[in-house]
Amino acid sequence: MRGGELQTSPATAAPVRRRVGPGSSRLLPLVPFVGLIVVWAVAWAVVRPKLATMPSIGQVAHTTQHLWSTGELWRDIGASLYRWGLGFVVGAISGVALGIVAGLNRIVARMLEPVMTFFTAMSGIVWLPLAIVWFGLGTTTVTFVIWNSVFFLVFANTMLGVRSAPRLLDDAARTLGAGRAHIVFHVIVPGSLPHILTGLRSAVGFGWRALIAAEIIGASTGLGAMIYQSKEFLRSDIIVTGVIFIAAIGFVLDTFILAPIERSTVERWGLVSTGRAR
Amino acid sequence: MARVLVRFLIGVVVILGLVFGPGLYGSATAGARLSPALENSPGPVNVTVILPFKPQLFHQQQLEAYGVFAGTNGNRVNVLNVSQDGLHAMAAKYWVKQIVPFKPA
Repeated sequence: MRGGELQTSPATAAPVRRRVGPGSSRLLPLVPFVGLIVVWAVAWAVVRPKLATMPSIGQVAHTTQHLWSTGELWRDIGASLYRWGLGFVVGAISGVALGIVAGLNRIVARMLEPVMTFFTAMSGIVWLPLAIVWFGLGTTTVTFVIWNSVFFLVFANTMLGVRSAPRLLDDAARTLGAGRAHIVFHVIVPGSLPHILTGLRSAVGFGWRALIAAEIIGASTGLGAMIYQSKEFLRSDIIVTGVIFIAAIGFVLDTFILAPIERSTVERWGLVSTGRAR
Repeated sequence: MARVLVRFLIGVVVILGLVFGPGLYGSATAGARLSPALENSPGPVNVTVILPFKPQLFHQQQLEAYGVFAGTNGNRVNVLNVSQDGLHAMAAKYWVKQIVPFKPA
């Protein structure tokens, strides 16, 4: 070694790995979105389709600004989020509560598993024609369809989670003198949280999609209704505006609300592995 | 953990902002939309609601809740028999430009 310098021969030098900096890695998820916008802009500039077929980015931006300034977009977003929130909360609470109760009894769980799988496979939207007959057009029908989409999924996942909670923990708690209620709330429910949260995260997406489909037929307000009514006037700019808001709101609900909850609970407690690339 | 919390708060703020933001903004700026002549007026009044755009069915239905709809003229919607509470509720709508006393043609 000369003068304190560490020298390595070229044959033994480790290959230099180019690493993506932390700032650049945070921007990576934006790349596909930017790509889509570029493709849209270029395709529209080349093809120049009619408004009835496909709007330009500028037309969509202008329409969004106009619909927001007139209050119509706000009304429809509010109506959709209200119905989704109501259906999701009722479906989640009833699904988790009944799922825990059913999962605690092995016989009940075995009896209900096939019928829950049967109903889970059924999209909530198939109930729409009957719901319209029962409740008429409007919020009750749409909320019922959302509840349907959320409840069976959450119930099935919760029941599975309760059945999957390690029996060893149950036995250990009993050995230490814990009562039934204590075991349920301090052992079984936390142990089934990964399944419950998985069910809730899936239910967010299913419920949101069911909402939009239900509003197309079953309501006169909401983002789904806005899209459907715009087709009557061949207003693809309003349709695309609605589609963008539907996707963006669904993205925010999952990525910025449900995912952080999952990360700060079951992942932090080590109940599930993150599986993230190092 | 802090990053997760920040992400969660961003999501909550975005959703709550979408739902309640425009309403709160409208309420905060309602005073600027109401004509001084209508402030503290006794009893129901007849008003003209001026919008920055041509009113659609949605706007007519919204304003009808506060009085008797009496027709439109361009960007103006005439509403009769509006109470003080109704006046303030209409002024709190962010898409309303101005509310002035109704002057028959």
